[in-house]
Amino acid sequence: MSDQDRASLEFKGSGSEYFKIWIVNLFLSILTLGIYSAWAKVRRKRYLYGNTSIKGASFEYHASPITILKGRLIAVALLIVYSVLSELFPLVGFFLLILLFAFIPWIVWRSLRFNARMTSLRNVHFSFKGRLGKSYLFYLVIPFIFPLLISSLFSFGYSVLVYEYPIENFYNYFSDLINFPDYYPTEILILTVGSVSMYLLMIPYVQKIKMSYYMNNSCFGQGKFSSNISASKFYLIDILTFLVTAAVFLFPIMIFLLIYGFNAFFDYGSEFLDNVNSIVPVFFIFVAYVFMLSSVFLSTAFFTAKLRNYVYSNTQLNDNISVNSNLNTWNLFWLYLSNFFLMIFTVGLAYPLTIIRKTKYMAETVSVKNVEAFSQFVSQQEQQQSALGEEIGEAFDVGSGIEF
Amino acid sequence: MKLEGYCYEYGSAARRMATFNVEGIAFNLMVGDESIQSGELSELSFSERIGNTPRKVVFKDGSVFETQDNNKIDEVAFVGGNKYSISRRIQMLESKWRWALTSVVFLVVLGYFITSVMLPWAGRELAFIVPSKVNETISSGGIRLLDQKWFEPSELSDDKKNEIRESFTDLINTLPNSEFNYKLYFRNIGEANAFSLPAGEIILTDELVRLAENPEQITAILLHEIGHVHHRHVMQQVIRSSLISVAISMATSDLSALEDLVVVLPVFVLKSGYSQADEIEADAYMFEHMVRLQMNPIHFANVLQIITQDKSNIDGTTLKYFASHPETSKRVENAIRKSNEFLGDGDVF
Repeated sequence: MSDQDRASLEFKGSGSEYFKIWIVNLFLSILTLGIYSAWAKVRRKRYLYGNTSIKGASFEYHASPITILKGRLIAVALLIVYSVLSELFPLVGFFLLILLFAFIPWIVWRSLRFNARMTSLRNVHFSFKGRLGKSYLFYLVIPFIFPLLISSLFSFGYSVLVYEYPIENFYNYFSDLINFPDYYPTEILILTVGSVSMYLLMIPYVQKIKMSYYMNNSCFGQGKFSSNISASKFYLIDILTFLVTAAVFLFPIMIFLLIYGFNAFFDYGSEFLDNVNSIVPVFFIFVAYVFMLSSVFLSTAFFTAKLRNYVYSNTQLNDNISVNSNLNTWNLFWLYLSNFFLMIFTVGLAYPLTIIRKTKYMAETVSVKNVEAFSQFVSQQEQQQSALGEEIGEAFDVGSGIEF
Repeated sequence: MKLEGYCYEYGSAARRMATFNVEGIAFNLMVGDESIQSGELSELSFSERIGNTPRKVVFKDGSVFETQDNNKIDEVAFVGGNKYSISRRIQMLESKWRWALTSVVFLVVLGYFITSVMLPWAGRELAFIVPSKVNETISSGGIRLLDQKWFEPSELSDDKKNEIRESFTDLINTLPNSEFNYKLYFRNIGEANAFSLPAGEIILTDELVRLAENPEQITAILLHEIGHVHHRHVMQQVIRSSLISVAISMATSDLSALEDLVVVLPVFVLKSGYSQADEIEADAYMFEHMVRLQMNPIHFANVLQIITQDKSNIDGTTLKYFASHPETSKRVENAIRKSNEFLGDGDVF
C-alpha cells in the first residue's frame, strides 16, 4: 500500500469558540442548579468529537443528555452520602472506599461500553465487547488479590515450616498476626513486603493486560480491533520512565555539587542558615514546587508518548487498516507545562483553551492507513445503555488506566 | 438552495459525494445526476448546531446527509419546522462574546456569593438541624483516639486541677440551659493550647495552665472553647467541606489528575478561611459571657499574647510568621476594644 493512503486525524476546534461554549454552558448549569450540566457535557463532547475528523469525515458523540442526567443524579447522590459519612465517621468512609474498590471493575467496564457505543465515525458506531468477568480479573484479581494471596501463602508456609504453626489452624492465622504482631515479625514482613513488591513488579504486566483487554475488545461496526502487544515492552517503557524520573531528580543535586564542590554539601548548614531571611524559604518552596511538577510532567509525557506510540503502531482494524501514533516526549512535556501555567495565570479561565490544545496535539499525532477501506463497515444493533457507570466513574474519579 | 456534502446509507460507512437541493418546502438529494431521496423538509430531522461542527440531516429511512454548511442548514431547518429551537437559542448564546463575558462576571460574583454567604449559611442552618446525638457520635472515642496519638497524661497537681474544675463547674452553671454536657480534661502535649470536641469535651494543656497568669485568663479560654461547641463549629465544618468537595467534583468532572493540582489550593484556602471566621465567632461568644459575668475581656488579650509569644520562642524562624499573623493581632485588638467597652460600661453604672 502506498503512503498516500495514510491520513492523519485533523482537529479544527478553536480555543475562543470552545471558551464561549464552555463558559455559557457552565453558566446555564449553575443557573439550573446542575440539571443542565448533562446537556453541557453532551455539547462540549459533541464540539470536540465533531471537530476531530479523518479525510473530511468527523467523529460524532451520541449520548442523550437525559441518559447522562439519570446516571449523574445517582452518582451525585452516592457522592454526597459518601462525603458526608466519611467526614462524620472516617471508619465508615474507609469501608465505603473498599466497597467502591470492589465496584471499580464494573464502573470501568460500564463506561468503556458506554463511551464506545456513543461514538461514531462515518455513520458507524464503535462498541466494546469485553466481558465483565475479565474486567474483574484484570482490575481486581490479578493486581491486588493475587499478590495478597501468594504472599499470605508464603508467610503461612514459613510459619508452619520454621515455627511449626499448627497447619490445621489456618483460619486463625490472620487474627493471630493482628493480635500478636510481636510474635510474628518475619511472617508480617513476608506478608507486607511480599505483597507490596509483587504489586509493584506486576504494574507493567497489569498495564499490558488492561490495554490488551480494551484494544482487543473494541469494535468499529462489524470490524474488530486487534492489538498485538507484549508485556516485555511495557516493562522496558516503565523502567525507562523510572530512569528518566530518577535522572530529573538527580540533576539539581549534580548542579549543586558542580558549583559548590562536595565539601559544601556537608558544612554549608551554619553559614547558609545565618543568612536566611523570610523571602528565601518562600522562593525555595516555589522553585521546588515548579521543579517537582516539571519532573512529574516530564515522566508522564515520556511514559504516555512511548506507550501510546507502541500500542497504536501495533493495532489494526480487521487486518487491513492500521493505526499509527507519533507523540513526541518534549512536545507533550511542553504541552503539559504550558497548559499548567495557562491555568495558574488565568485562575482556571484558560481551561477550555488547554483542552483544545491537548485534544489537537493528541489527535493530530494519530494517523490511519488505508482509510478508504472504512467503506466496508456497517453499524451493529445493540441494546440501549445507561450512563451510570460512566457518571459514577467521573464523580469518584475512577480511571480505567488506559486513557490517552 | 444547494448544499454540498456526503451521504451515507442507513448504518453504513460507505460515503458518496452528494448535493442537497431545497426549493420551498421540498427537498431532493442528488448523487451525481441521480436523485436518491426526495420529499418535504418536515419529514427530516436535523442535528443541533454546536460551534462549526458538521451537521447531519437524517432521512425517514435512516440514511444520512452530512454537511459543513452550517448557515444554510440552519435556514433549511427553520423552514422544516425548526425542530431544535431551544438548542438554537443556546447556540446563539454560545456564539456571542458578550454572553461569554456576562457568564464570566456572573460566575465570579456567584463564586464569591456561594463561598462567602451561601456555604456558611448552609453550614450554620444544617448544623443546627442535625440532632445533637450526632455530635455525640462524632465525639465518641475522640478523646481515646487523641490520647493514643498525641496526648500525654497531665502532670499538674491535683489541687490545681480541682481548683480549675470547680471554677469550670461554676461557669457551666451560669450558662443558659444547653443540650451539651460539658466536660473538662487535662492533658499534656508540650505546648500551650486548648481544644474542644463537638459533644462538649474541653481539653486544656498543662503548658497553658502554667502560662496563665490568673483564673480569669483560663475562664476566657474555656468560654472560647465552649463557644466552638455552642456554635457547632465542627459540624459546620463537616457540612461545608462535604458541600465543597461535592461542588468541586461536579464542576471539574473532566479535569485530569494533573490539573487537579490547581484545584487543591483554592479548596485549602477556602477551608482555612472559614476556620478563622469560626475563631472570631467563638471569641464573640466568650466576650459576651465574660461581660455578663463581670470579667474584663482584656484577660483574653493577655492570655492570647502569652501563648503566641511562647510559641514563637519554641522555634524562632518557622513560627515567627504564624505568631505575627494578622488574625491573631486582630483578635487581640478586638479583645482590647471589648475591654474598653466593658470598662466604659462600668463607668456609666
